[in-house]
Amino acid sequence: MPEPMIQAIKLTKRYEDGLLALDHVSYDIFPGEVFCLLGANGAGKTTAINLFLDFIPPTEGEARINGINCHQNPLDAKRYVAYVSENVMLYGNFTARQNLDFFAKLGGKATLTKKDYYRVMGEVGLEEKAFEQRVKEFSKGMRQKLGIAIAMVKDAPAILLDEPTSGLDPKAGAEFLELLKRLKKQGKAILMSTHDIFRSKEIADRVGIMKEGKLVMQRTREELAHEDLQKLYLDYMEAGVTAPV
Amino acid sequence: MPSPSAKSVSGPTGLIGIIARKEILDHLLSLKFHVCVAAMAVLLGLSAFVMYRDYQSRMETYSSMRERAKLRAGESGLMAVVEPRRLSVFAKGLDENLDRGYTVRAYDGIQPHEWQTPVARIFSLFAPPDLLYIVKALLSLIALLFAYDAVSGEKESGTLKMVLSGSLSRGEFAAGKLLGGLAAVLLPFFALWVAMLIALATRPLLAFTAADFARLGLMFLATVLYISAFFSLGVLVSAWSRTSAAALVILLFFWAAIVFAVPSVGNLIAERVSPPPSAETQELLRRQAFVKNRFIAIQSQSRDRQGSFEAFNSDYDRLVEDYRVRLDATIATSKNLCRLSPAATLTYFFTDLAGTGLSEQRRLGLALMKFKSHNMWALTHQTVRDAPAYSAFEFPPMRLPEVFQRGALTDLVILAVTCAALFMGAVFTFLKVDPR
Ligand SMILES: Nc1ncnc2c1ncn2[C@@H]1O[C@H](COP(=O)(O)OP(=O)(O)O)[C@@H](O)[C@H]1O
Ligand SMILES: [Mg+2]
Repeated sequence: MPEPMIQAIKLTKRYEDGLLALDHVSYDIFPGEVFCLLGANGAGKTTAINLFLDFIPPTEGEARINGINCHQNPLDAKRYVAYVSENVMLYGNFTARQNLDFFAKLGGKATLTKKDYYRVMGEVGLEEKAFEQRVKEFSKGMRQKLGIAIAMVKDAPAILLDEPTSGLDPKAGAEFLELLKRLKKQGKAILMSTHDIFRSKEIADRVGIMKEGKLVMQRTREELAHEDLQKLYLDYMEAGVTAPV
Repeated sequence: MPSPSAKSVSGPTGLIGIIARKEILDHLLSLKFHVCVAAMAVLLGLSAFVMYRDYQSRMETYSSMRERAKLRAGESGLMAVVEPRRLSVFAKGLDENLDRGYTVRAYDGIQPHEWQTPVARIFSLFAPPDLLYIVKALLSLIALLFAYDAVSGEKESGTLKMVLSGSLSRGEFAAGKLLGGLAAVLLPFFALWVAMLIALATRPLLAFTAADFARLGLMFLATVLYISAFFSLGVLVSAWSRTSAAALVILLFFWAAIVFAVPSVGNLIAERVSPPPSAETQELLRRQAFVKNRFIAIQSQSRDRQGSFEAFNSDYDRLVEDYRVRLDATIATSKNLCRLSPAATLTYFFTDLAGTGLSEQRRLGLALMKFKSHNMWALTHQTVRDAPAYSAFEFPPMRLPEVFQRGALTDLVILAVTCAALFMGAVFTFLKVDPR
């Protein structure tokens, strides 16, 4: 049995205002596996990702990357993780390449050349004329692609994606799916929060549904093969935090 | 187990360097940077021009007064003429009080020479645009403008999350931001200052000596500490406040308080706590003593002119000493209160190094007293044949060790401690920032 790369163990977060945003959530994501988290806005998906990055401390439980406790050894843990935020924001005065260069160096990749950067930006579907363009002129979709390029350059074994396709046009969305498949083949463990039920069904090895801080359902790709995920999702949304009848 | 993505080749210092370089590049690409550097260039150029012209005319006055003092020695008292200090072009300070002629008479005390009209009267209305003022008021403001959004701006734009998702500690990030941002303020300023210095030093009138350059080096060190303190304060508030706009408002308040309010309030409080002697009172006492001594002299019919002068002078010297003690007490209280503000500390440091500060004024008073007592015999025997020669007035600039001993070292230590405390404060505040 291989070790899980991304691991939530009874992960719980209660915010200062008393809101229980995450309630004893557990899941394992293994290398080469894509785990899609579905759930309404405010279900707690981003909170979980923030716990993996130690942006906020957990109230209870543990977030682990590559077996390392993300709160106790954040610097160690973050060496193994790449992250694309919900709304990728970059240094507006820098060009796409300058942004990529900065984040690559920050991730310890000091030897990459301009050619490497251009190749990665091409791979994520950025147009060539955008490579040396200032990022403040970018659309949301273009920033999202560059954010994905930054995550790819870091070449980390774990990838956290927070609604990565939310700003992408349909073509870019499809390209992103192809990219995800390639990363999966490279053996990356991928946690992706999304609202995109159809793409989840296509790419995910496992799907989880979150509701009010609880992980109310987990299904494998095989289990989902004969089910209508959209109907399942809506049923869970209708029902309480327990399983639908 | 997969290999870590970040190789250990880039240690913590490497990461700080990466952040600092990014920070500098980010500033270089911004409009703010170019506007601020242009403002620095214009002001330093203007300062060099105006302060040099001022120095030039003060030197002209000095030369003609010195000639006059030589020609007319003893005619109606003696004249002591103080040479303007070269470094006053960088910190004018009390130069207006210092470099002028003083007339010393046997029984009229020491008076500033009426004949001299102070050169640039306009400076007493507006602060002189010297380097000290530019650093104290303008560069500190630029430092805050560069720092106020250092953390809050990255939080607002979301880049803070991107950066902190990497394997670098918050301490490293804060240190990199502080060092990079400071370099973006100080390097262009230093380059412009050197250009200004070259332009001034090539003037024959301002032949700076090696000792002058050493003092300029110390002024630059103080500038670095002072500006670092302001920049760190900016980052601290930026990390603490929720938005950049709030940070800017808070920082402008601090800036006004530190640069303008605290020194003025410090002086006001000092005048209350330890009131300075009023000049009129002293003048009145002086005349009373004079009349009394004349009266005694006539009364005793001793026709002892000399005795009368001596009696007067010992009274007068006592009054002056009393005046000085009280004034020193006021100045010391004010200095200690004002040092709460780094801007005041910087002012003391710059002016003391330039020889235009408070301690120089004190020294000048003592030098004039000495000049008078040395020449008293000669002054009271003017009409006598074979009267002794007058001794010359000497007022060499203070040596550096003495400058340090008289308070400059304290000022430098205060600046260094303030700077270190705010730098650490900024880093520690940043450790607790919520990046979302
Ligand atoms: N800093 C915070 N303080 C208090 N409540 C928060 C904070 N951040 C998020 N929340 C709340 O926690 C819940 C989960 O939020 P989030 O994890 O962002 O949901 P999702 O990403 O699934 O849309 C929401 O109800 C949200 O309002
Ligand atoms: Mg979210």
